[in-house]
Amino acid sequence: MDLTRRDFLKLSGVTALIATGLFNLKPLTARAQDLQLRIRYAKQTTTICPYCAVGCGQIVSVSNGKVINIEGDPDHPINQGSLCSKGSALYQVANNERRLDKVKYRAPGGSDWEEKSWNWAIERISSRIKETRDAELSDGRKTNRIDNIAAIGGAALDNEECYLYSKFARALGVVYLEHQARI
Amino acid sequence: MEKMGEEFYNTALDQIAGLKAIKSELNEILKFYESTIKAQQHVKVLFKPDLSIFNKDLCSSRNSEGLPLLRAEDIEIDQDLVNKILEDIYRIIRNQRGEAVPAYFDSSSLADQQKVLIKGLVEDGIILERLACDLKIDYPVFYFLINHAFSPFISKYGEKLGEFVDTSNWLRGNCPVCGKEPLVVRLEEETGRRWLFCSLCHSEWLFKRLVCPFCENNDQESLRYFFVENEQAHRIDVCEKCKRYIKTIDCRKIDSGVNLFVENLSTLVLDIVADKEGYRGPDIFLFREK
Repeated sequence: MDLTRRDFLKLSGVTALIATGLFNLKPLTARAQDLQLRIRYAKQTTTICPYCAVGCGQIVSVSNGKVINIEGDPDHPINQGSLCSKGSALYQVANNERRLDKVKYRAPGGSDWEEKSWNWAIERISSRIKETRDAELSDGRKTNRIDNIAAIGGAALDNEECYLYSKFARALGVVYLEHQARI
Repeated sequence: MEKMGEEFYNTALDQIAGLKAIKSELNEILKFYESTIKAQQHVKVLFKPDLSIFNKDLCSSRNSEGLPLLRAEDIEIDQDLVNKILEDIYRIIRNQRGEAVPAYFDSSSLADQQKVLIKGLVEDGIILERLACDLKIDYPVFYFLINHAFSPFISKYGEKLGEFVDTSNWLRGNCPVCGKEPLVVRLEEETGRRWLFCSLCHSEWLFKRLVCPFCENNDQESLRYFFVENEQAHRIDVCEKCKRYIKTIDCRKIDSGVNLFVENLSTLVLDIVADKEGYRGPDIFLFREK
């Protein structure tokens, strides 16, 4: 017999089991056809928890564009898979039915929340910023510095959002510019 | 080094008994493995490996060079035990497959080939195909026989040598004890660390979460997994680079005391799904292309 390694095909897993001819795998094959219709693919990406300066590693699983799981990265040297209660709940930044996704407005002196459009909210905020800033600059000062507006960033903002937010605040002359994350 | 210890076969048998009641489609396979595991357990208890050549320096030296601890020439097994397990497992195979397998198998024909068989098992499958041809037994059946016959002996070595394996520095896709590919993956309860489980010696060793154990690809864009909706305790990790897959059992979602060998059997349907999706699993044996 003249065999070389190039003649070899590696048989794996269930294919190898079939090749032995030991078992009737028809019941399993029928079930597999059913399961194949119900499978979902997901991709994992490593990232850093945004909440504090510890910088714990996390693995985010995404399926069909949606975050389906966030867990501690066991290969990360800092946290080795563990997360604090806040980091463990990071999934809820992406998915939480109690998170507001519409503008709610309560008028000065009012007791009820009204639902408003995004355009209404943006116009309202910009006009309030302008009024506040104009009041501060009414003394005719030449420097772009205002003390009556403060800007506070959120830990869940990413790098690019923080960059835009700080640029925007500095353009307005805001000096009280703060952010929780220090990574 | 995580080991399954002497309890391995007991937990396997307990879990097979439980599965038989709930997974009727696996009954034939489970009954077969129940008999096989009992035969393996019997010889494993009797086997006393000679570990005199192994010491910490030798093991560290081999592992640091990327070599597994065991070489075929290091393994010495009492021939009576080898004959016993070969005959027992051959009988179980024949009961299962009937006339398709020759009625008689003379284990003494392999009496002086113990090291050749082990070499064929862990290093070079072509040796076993030649032997199967000489013995007029189907190669897949012959490999199946040799694999299951020698597994208890090699797993005993694995248990005894486990203390010499430094899993934190190994981090390779093949077993640090015998060199075989992993059969399944376990994600550790609480930390989610990824342990690979050897199909032959049942050792477990640590591996990185986002690396393919077969080609060591670490590009997150080409690593994916799939799962069946509402059944996230089991999933299949796939690598788009080498088109291979490995089953993952997430012990954060099921009982962490689960026996991985049996868990692999109980999830065979996922192997069929992975096969249909175009991925290739852990290599069980080498086989000549027809």
